[in-house]
Amino acid sequence: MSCLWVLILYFNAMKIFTALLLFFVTASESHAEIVVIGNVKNNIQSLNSAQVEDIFMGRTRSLPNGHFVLPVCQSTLRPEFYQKLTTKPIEQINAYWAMLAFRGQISQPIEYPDDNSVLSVINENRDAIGYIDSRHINNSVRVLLRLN
Amino acid sequence: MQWIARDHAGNFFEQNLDWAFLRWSIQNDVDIRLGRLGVGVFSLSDYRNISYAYPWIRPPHEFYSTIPYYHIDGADITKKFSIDDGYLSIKLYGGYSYNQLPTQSSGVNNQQSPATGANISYEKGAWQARLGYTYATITSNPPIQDLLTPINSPLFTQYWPDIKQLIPAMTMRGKEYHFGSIGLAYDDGIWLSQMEAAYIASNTLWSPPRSSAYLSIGRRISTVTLYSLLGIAKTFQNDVNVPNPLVPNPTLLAYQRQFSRTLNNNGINEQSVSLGTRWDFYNNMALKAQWSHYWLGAHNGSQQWQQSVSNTTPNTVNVMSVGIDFVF
Repeated sequence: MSCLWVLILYFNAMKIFTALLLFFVTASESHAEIVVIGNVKNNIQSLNSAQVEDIFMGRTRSLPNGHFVLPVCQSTLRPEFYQKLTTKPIEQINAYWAMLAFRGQISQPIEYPDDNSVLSVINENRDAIGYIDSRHINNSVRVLLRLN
Repeated sequence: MQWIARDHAGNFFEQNLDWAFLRWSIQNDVDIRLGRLGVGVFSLSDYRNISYAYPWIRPPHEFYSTIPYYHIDGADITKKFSIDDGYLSIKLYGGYSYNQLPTQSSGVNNQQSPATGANISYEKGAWQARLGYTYATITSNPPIQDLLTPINSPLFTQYWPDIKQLIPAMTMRGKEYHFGSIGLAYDDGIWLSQMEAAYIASNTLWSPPRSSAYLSIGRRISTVTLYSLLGIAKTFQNDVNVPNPLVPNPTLLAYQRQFSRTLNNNGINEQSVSLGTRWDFYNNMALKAQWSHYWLGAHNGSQQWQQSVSNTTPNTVNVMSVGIDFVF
C-alpha cells in the first residue's frame, strides 16, 4: 500500500517538474515571427531557406538574379534569426564569421539596431536583404521568406 | 591588414605582418588578392593565430609547427562554383616568401623562396573537404658559416679531406619543397570533427621529408565544447654519417662529434593526445582549457621544440594551458 503511495507521489512530482520545465523552456523562447525582406524594385519574389542561408553565412555574394547582394542584420533578432535559419547557436555563428573575416574573404553583414533602420536600408538599396519582426512589415518592402 | 604581436625571429615589425593585401572582386564569384597573404596550403593557414575561430587553445602542434612559413608576398585568385547544393572553390597563388626562422646554432635564417600552389575545397552542409599543393624553391643558404669555416680551413683540407663531401648536403640554395595536404571537417552544430594529413617532400638536410596528421573530435553541450585531439608527426631521413678524419686527432674528433650532433638534430618524432574544453561564456568571448601529453621519440631534434643543442630531449611533456579568446 505504501509502495503505491510512493509511486503516486512520484508521478505527481514528475508531472509538476515537467510542467515547470516546459514553462521555462517555452517562456524563454520568444514567439516573434521573423521575415526576410527585400526591396520591391528587385525582381525576386521569394527565396528559400537554403538561399537565405548561403547569403547570411557568406557562401555567396550574389542574389539568384546575379546582382551583388547587400545583407543586413538586425542586432536584437540576430541570435534568433541564425538559430531558426541554421539551427546553430549564436556563439558558433560568431566563431564562424571570425574565421571568414580573418581569411579575408568576405565581410560580416552590417548590423542595425532595430526593425525601422533595417526597413530604411532595404528601401534605399535595391539589392539589400534583411530581416525584421513580422509585425513591422509595411508595403515598402517585399517578404521573401518567413521563418517560424 | 593583420599584424600580430608575437616573439618572432628576425625583424619584429616586418615578420609579424601576416597580411596586407588588396582584394578585388572582378565578378561575384572571382576574387583576386594582391600583397602579403597567408599561405593557403592548410585549413587554418589564414587564421591559425585567431584561436577564437577554432575549438582548441592552439592549432595542432604536430601539424602546424612544421610549416616553415606563414606568409608570401604575391597574388592569388579564387573562383567559386555552386555545384549540387554545395560550393566548390579553387584557388591558385604564387609569390615570394621571405621568412626569418630561428636556427639551432646562432642567428636567424633568412629564408627566401618563390612559392606557387593551388587548393581546392568543397563545402556542402555540415561537411568540408580540401586538397592543397604547394611547390617552393629555396634561393638562400642557412647561416652555416660556423660549420663551413673549419671545413674550409687548411688543417681540415690536409687531415680530413672527406669532410667536404658534406657541403652539398648542408647548403639549401636550389633545393625544393613540395607540400601536399588533405583535410576533412564536419560540424553539425552538436558534433564537430576535423582531420588533416600532410606530406612535405624536401631534399634539404635541415628540413627533412616529413608527414604529419591530426584528428579532433568534439561535442557541444549548450555553450560548452568538449574536444579531444590526436596528433602525429614524423620525419623520414637516414642519419648523416660524418666521415672519419685521416688522423684521430682529438680536436678533429671533437669536431666530428659536433658535426654529427648538429647534422642529425633535425628529425621529428612526436605524438600527442589532448583533451580540452571551450566555454563561450559571453558574447564574442571564449574561455579555453587544454591538457596535452606529448611523446617525443628517438631522433626528435630541435625542429619543433627549441632547446640548446647540448640538452637531451625528454621523452614526454605535459602541457596545461588556459586562455581567454575574444574578438571585437
